[in-house]
Amino acid sequence: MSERPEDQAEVREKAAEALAPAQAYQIARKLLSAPAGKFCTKAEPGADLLELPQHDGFEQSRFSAKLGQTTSLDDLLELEERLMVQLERIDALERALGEGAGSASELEDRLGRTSEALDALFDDMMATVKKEDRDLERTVASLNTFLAESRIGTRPDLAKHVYVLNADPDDLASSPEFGSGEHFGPVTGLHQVHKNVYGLWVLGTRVASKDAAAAIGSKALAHTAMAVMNLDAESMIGPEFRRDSVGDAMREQNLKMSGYDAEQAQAEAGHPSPLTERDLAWVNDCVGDVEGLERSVLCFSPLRVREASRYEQELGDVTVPSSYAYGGKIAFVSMVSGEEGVATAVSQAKKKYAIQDYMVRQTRRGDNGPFLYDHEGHVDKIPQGVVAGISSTGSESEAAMQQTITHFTGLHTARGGLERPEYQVSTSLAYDYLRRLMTVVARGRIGEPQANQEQIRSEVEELLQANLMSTDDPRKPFTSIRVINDTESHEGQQAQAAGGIRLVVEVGAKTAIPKVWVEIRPNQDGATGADE
Amino acid sequence: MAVEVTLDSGTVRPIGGIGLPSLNNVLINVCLSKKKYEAAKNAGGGRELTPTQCSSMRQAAYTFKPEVTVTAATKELPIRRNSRVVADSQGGGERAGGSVATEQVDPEELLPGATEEQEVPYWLNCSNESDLVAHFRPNAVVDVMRPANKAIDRLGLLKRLRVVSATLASAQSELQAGRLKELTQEQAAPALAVERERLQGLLRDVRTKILRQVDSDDRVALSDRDLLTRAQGDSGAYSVFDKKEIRSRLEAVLNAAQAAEGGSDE
Repeated sequence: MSERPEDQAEVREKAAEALAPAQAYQIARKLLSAPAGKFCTKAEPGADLLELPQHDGFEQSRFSAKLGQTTSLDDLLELEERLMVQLERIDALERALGEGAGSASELEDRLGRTSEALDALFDDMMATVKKEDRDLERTVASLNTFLAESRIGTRPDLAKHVYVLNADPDDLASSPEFGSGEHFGPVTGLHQVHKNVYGLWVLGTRVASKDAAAAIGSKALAHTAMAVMNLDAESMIGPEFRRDSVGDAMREQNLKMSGYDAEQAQAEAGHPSPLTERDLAWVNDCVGDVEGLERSVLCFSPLRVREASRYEQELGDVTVPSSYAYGGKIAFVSMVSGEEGVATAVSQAKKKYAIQDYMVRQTRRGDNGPFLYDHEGHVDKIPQGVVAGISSTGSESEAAMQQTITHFTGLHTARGGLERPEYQVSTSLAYDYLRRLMTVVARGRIGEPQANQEQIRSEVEELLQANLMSTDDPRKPFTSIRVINDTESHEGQQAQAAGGIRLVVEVGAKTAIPKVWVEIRPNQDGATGADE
Repeated sequence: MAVEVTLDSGTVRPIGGIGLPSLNNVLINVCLSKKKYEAAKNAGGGRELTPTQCSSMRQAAYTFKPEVTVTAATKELPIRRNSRVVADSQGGGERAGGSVATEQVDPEELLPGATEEQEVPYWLNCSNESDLVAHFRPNAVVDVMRPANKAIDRLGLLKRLRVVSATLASAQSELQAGRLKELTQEQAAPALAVERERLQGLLRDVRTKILRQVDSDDRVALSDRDLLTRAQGDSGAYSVFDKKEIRSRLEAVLNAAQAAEGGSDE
């Protein structure tokens, strides 16, 4: 092995020229058709394996015959890939031998060491890819969740109504253009009351404080019937509440730091202290003090769509923000099926896709006990509306509800649909949950003048004052403007009966106009009014 | 004087008893392509805030083309030394035994071309609604990864690492069992060189046929925009995106090979 590399190459070249093709094939066949390595694991154990082709398949006449018979593009691409794999294997063995074969044991050792290092590089490379693509995977899974829950794919006539805004959610929240109608393609009406607005807006923006929610809500106002926002569950609730190894480790650490007393904890575990309104103050702090919110704690729970692989232990499971699932459900109820929708599960249980949910409350012992508590802290009386969970009972009775508790222990997934009856949630549960959820997420007009009379009144007043009232601007005719919701006059009562409102505008005028009536009514054609 | 103004509110009747208004449009904010988003931002005029009609995962895949790029670098890695690959019941194998030692690993030294930039185009070959999501699974990443430079005629790095490692481990195991004596013979390396040349010839034949197949589809000449429009009525048009990619990869590879041959002739 004292020859220089170029000399070795020359020797090999001459040796290759001396070899008959058939002889070369036979040698390669033996080298590349070892029974020990016909398949190998791709990245994770399972049946999806990577094939290391046996060399027999590349015998000249056999391969040419196969190529001649192959007409499908997929089959041709498979042939191409097999050839590329085999060339890679040939190169690998050539390199190993080219480094100076030495004795059999030296070669054996070199092969083993190189293979071990390659596996280490594989693990590192895969971990790098998974770190790099985590945000993207979460985003893709979020869209998939929305579409699966909404089942808009089953209604091609509705497809044209679904839009994706490819923008960084974090930028969006702070963008000055955000909320400017001219930047949103299909929005045509930008008046105080308008047509062709976006009905539902599912936002990727993380909302972690009351102020942020309000700001986004006000920006969404002009375009949206409803905005569903991401509540930053991970940062709000904290890893110590996770029902997985990360949470376990964190709790253990906390207990150690706090001078954990096992006996005392054991005693306390039997008597968990109930939650109080004050304990849930952070909920209000985040989404605003809204009626119906007090039991919406679990809408913050991200949905696990894929368990972390061995390469992603630091990243944890892949989860999607619940807003996309709930947004999909609302879209389903509103666009696809008004009847069927009320029975749609907000989360669907499949053990296979079990997620590590977040606990609202954890006993000091840090065990894996029930994680859902009702508002009073009782685990045995989960009321409707705490969460639209997974029910195999479909019942509204208290007794049947008890049976659903087992389903609440970490068995939520983002897949929608009602393929299997046992996964249907009870009608009342979903109904109540959606109602509560809507209360939380409604940030703009919900399309019901009757329900928004005061809002409309005050906004009309504000609009008129801003545009028409001034003491010194000659272009503005009024010195004072007051808008009154007319519920008493005959005309006002007629407007109310028709589902509208009648506003009386009292003005202090520079001109001779003392009073204006504004009447707001729903469309006469009722149902959609939206497809224009 | 009184003026009565009637505004058409455009509101709609709630569905059933649930109190939900029916909705006309749904806007979903998801950033599927940072590249496209940055480009739109740089173009100015609020273009980054222009929504795109999109109601399926396949449409999302071929419209936004989500992908990432990575490059292997020299670094210290934990290596399981003196280990062996233990076959599992499925036919694959896991490395077991030995002890872990941290060593400096230079990817290029270990595998030529290992530091070439790699891309993972998750959007390619999405033949149904679940493929895009599925392509993020580690097993799928091995299949999807490819060199970012299309002219580089290699498999994706992850697959190369697996194939080479398994080939060497298998050869080692055969040697240990005293079965692969040919490996130590002087003719082994020259025989492999002859076979490589022959297989490259076969590869050229296969690619020629692939190109013929791809070109037989007239839609390959269409722009992405036209294809997306066509796909709204015919979802089969999405597969043309894959064909276009095949075409552009093979063209790049063949051109690079021709250039290399030209260079060696001079």
